[in-house]
Amino acid sequence: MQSRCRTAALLLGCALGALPSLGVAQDAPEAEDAAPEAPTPAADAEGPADAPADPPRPPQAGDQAGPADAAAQGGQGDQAGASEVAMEPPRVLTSVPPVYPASHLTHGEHPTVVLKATIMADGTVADVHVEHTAGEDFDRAAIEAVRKWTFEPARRGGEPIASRVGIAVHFELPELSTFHVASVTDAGPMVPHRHGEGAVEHADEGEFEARATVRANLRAEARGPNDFRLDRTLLQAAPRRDAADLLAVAPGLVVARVEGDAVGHRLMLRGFDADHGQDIELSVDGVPINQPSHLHGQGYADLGFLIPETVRSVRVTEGVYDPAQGDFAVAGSADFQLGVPERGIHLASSYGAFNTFRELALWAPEGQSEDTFAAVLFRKTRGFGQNRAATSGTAVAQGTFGKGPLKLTLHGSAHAARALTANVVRRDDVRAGRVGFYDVYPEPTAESQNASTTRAQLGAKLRYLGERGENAELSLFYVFNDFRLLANYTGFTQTSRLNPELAGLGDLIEQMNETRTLGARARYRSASYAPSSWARGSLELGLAARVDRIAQAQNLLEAPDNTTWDRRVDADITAADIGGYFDLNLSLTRYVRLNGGVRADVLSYRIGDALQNFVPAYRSERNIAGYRRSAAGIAVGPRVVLEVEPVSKLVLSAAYGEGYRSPQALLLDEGEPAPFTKVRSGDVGARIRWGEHDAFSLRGSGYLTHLGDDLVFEADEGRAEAVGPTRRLGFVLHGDVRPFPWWLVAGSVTYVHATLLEPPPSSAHDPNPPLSRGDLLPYVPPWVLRVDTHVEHALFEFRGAPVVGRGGVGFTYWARRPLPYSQRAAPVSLVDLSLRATYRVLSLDATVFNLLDARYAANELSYASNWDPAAVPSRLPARHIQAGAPRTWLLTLGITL
Amino acid sequence: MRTTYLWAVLACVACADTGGERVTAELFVRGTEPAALEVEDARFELTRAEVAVGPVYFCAAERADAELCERALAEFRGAAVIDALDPTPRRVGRVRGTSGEIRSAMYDYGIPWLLTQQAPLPLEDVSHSAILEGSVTRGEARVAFTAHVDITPRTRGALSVNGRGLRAELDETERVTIEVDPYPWLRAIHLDTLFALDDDGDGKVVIEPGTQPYEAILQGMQNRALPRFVFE
Repeated sequence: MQSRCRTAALLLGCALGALPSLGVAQDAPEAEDAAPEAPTPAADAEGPADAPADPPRPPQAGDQAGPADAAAQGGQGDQAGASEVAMEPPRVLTSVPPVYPASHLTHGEHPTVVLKATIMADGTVADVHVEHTAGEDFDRAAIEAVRKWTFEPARRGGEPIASRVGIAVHFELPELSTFHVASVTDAGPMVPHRHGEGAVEHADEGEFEARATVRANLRAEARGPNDFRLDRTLLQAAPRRDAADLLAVAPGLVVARVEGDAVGHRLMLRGFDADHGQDIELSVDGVPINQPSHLHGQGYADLGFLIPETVRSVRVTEGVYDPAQGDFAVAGSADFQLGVPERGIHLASSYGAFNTFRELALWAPEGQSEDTFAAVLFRKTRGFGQNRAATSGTAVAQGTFGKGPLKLTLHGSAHAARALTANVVRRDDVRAGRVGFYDVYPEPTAESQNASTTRAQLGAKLRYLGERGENAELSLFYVFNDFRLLANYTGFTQTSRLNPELAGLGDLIEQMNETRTLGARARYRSASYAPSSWARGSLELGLAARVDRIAQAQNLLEAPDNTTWDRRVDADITAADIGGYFDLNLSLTRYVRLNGGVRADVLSYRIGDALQNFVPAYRSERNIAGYRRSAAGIAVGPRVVLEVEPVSKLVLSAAYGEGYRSPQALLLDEGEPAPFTKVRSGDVGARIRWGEHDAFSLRGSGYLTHLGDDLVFEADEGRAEAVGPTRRLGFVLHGDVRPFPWWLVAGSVTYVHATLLEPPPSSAHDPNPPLSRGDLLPYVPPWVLRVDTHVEHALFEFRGAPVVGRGGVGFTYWARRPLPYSQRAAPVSLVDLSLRATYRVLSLDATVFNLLDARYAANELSYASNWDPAAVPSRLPARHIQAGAPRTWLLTLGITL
Repeated sequence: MRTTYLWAVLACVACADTGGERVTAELFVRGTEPAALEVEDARFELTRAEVAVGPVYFCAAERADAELCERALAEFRGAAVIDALDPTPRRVGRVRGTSGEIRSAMYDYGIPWLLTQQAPLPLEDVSHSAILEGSVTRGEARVAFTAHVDITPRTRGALSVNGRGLRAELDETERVTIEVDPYPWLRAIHLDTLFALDDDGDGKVVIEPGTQPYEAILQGMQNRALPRFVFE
C-alpha cells in the first residue's frame, strides 16, 4: 500500500514555510545517517566551506520571503549562489513518499537514489532523471514519487523561475517501529548548490539540492488482503470528532460514541459488534489499550486519551493474520502510531455548537523526529440534547533520544474526563412524545447518569537497528485506568438481591473498574538470509507479557443522593497474559511471498469475588459470602498469508489465522481449563494499482470467520453476555484514487452476513432465548459504506504568500441494522464537511458534522424496560436508542510558530 | 447473467433475519352460562359476577413468576373486567408479544403491586378483583350474599397467580380468550359459616375478608378454578 505525503504538514509547513527538519544533500549515499529522524548537520554536508556549524534553520512561519532574507534561509549564510540577485529556493508543497519495493523488503537494503528534477515556474515537476542509481527498482520508485511532488517555485527577485533540484531519496530499512507507514521523514527545503566555477545550467534557473528520507517496513507490507495503513492524508481528509473517529476510514469499521464523552466508543467491524473493544485489539505504538475483564465490557478500550493531531498513522488489520496480534484480535486490530510531522508550536482554539470549547497546544520541537512532541488538550461542552455536558483534559509528551543503532523513546500521558450521559430512551416513548429524541427521562435515576475516567501511561521503547538489517525492539509500559459509570438502561425493574424489601428504586447501575497494567513487549528480527538466489527470508521472534490488577464493583444506587440499595459485584482480579510468537517472512522468486508463524498465549487468573455465595436472609446461613478461584489456559494459533504477484502491481493473496479473546474473569470457575473464545478467520483477495503514478488502487476480498462464543449486550447487567458460536461471511471492496496531488478520494463497501450457529443455552431465566440457529446477529449493519475525499490547493497569493484552501467531505452509510424479533433499525447516512484556509502562520477551520442534520440512532438495542414508575411494566423487549449527534459545527483558529 | 445470479444470491442472503417476530392477537373475554352450583344439599346461584383479570404475562418458563419471566413472550398490561355470567365473547384489547412457545402465564386480578408502589393498587376501572352477588339455598333456608374480593400479590413486584400452565404459540394465534367460570370458587364455602353470617336474620350477608367464605373464594380464584386462556 502506497502511503502519501502528509498534506496537513505541507499545508502548515510548506505553505507557511515550516517544513520538517532540513538536510543538505550529500553526494555519497552511504554517508547518510541511517536514522530517519536525525536532521543532517550542515557540518556533514558537502557545502560551502564556511557553512554554519548548526543545522540550517528552516524557513519559519512568518518569515518574510523577501530577497534579503531569502538568501539567509536554509543555511545560506554565505549568500551562496552564482547570481547576485537574491534567490528564494523552491519549497515542497506536496510530497508523495516513494514506495519501498516489496521485492527488496527482506534484503536488508537501505540505499539512496539521487535524482535531478526540474521545477517549473508553475511549481510542477518537468523532468526527473537519476544522478546516482541504487538499482532499477529503487530508481523507479523514487522517480515515480518525485514526479508527483508539487512545489512553490523558486523565485528570483520575487519572480517565479524554473529551477533545478537535486533530491537524494534515502530508502530506509528497516523502520524500527514495526508498522510505520512509509513516509517522507525529511524533506528539507532546497539549498543553493555550489557548482564550483560553473554557472547554473540555464541562465534563468536556480539550482538547489534537498534530501528526502523514506521509511519502509521491514516486516511484510500486507498481512492479508485487508491490511490497511491509513496515512495522515487519508486520516485528515474528512473531519474527525476525536482520535477514535479516525478509525471510521477503515473499511467496514463503525464508530459511535453513545454513552457520553467519558465512555469508550462503540465499535463494529466486519460483522462483529465489538462493543467497546471486545473484538478489536487496539493499541498505541504497540501498547495495548484493551482492558481484560473490564466490568463494562470485556476488552473495554477508551481512546479518549488520544489527541487526533498527534496521530501520524493507523494500521488496521482486518482478520487475524499477523502473529504479533494478541488478545481481542477477533475481528482485527488497530494500532495508532503517534507522531507530529508538522514541526513547531501549534496553538488552536475552537468554539462550536452546544457551547463547545476546545483548546489545543502542541509543541513539536524543530530538528527532532516526528515522534518527539508534547501536547495538551482541554475540551468542554454542554453537549447536544439533555444531560450530555462533558469536560476533559489530556496531556501527552514523548521524545526519542539517541543516534546510531540504538534509540530510546519515552512516553508519558495523562487523561481525565467526566461527562453526563442521557443513555437510552425507548422508541415507543419518543413516538408517543413522552420523551424527546435527544432528551433524558425526567426521573432522577436517569438524570443522574454520568461517567468519569482517568488514565495515565508511562512507557519506554528501546530500538536497535543492526548494519545488516537485523533489528530489535523492547517496550515497557505501565498504565493506570480508572473508570466509573452511573447508567440506567432499564428504568425501574430491579429488586435488591441483598434485601428483597428494596425494589423499584431505579436501576441506576454504578460500575467501578480500576486496572493497573504492567507490561512488556519485545521482538527481534534477523537479518535477511538467502539460501538460494531465488529465496530470501527473515525470522522474527516476539514476546508480549502483561499483568493486570483489577478492582471492580457494581452496585445499584438510588438517585439523586446515590445511596446504595444493592451490591452486585465486589471483586479483585489478577490477570496475566504471557505470549510468544515467531514470524517468518519469505520471498520465493519475485512472484511469491509467504508470511506467517504461530502465536501462543498463556492466560492466568486469580479471582476473588466477595459477593458470590451470598446467603439471602431467608435461608439458613451455612457459609460466608465469597468465592475465590483461579484458572488458566493456553491459546495457540497459526497465522499465514500467501501473496502472489503474477504481474506487476497485481497481488493475489490468501490468508488464514486463528486468534482468541480472553474470558471475562468473573465468569470463570475454579480450574476452568480452556477459558478462551477462539476465532478462525480466512480471507481471499486481490489488490491492484494502475494509472499514471499508480493514481488508482483497488482491492477486494471475501472473508469467512467462525467465533467459538460470541457476546451480545445484556441490559440488566449493563454488559455483554455469551450467546454461542457465530459465523460471518462477507466481502470488502476498497478503492483509493489520487488523480492529482491535491485531490484524494477513498471509498469502501463492506458486506457481512453474520449468523448464529448454535442458540444460546436455555436457562431457567431464559428458557426461550430470542436467537435461534441460523438467525442474523443483531445490531450489526450488514452494509457499511464510507467515502472520504479532500482537495487542497493554493487559492491565491496575498502579500507574497499563498492562501491555501482545503476542503474535506466524509460520507458514512450504515444499512438497516437487524434487531431482535425481525426488527430493523433505520439506515443511517451521515455527511461531514470541513473547510480550511491557511495563510502564513494562521489557519481557520470550519467543520460541520452531520451536515444534513440526520436524526439517527447511533446505537439501537432491544430489551425489556420500564421507564414509567406509575404504570404496569411491560416485560416485552422494546427498542431503545442512543441518539447520535445532530448537526454540529466547530470553528477553529490556529497559529503555527 | 452472472451479474443477475450474483444479485440473486446476495438478495437471498440478505433476506435472512434475526429470528422471531413481533405478533399480536385479539383478546376476548367470556363468562359462563348462568347456572347453579349444587353442593351437598345446597344450591348456589349467582346474579352478578364481575371478575377483573390483568395484567397478564405469557412466558416461556414452565412455571412463570416475576423472577423467571423477566422477559415475557406476550402480555396484556391492562385489566379486563369480565361479566362472568355472560358467555358471549367480548373483545377487550390485544395481546402483544413475540413468537415462541408459551409454557405458562402469570397474572393479577386487576390489583397489581408494582415495584415502585408501597402497596397494591387496583388498575383503572377496577374496584375489586371480583364482585360476586347471588344466593344460596339449603332446604328452606336462603341467604343472599355479596362478596367484594381483592386479590393482591404477596410481595412487591410479584404477581397474584404464577405458573399457570399453558401450551401455545402466539404467532399461530388470532385470538386469545379468557374464560372465567365463577361457580367453582363457591364450592369450598362452609355453608354453616355462611348462614351464620346472617346474624340479623334478614337473609342478606356480606362476605368480609377474614371470614371462611371469603378465604374459600380467594383460594378458589387463586388455586382451584383458574381462568382458562384459550388460544385459537
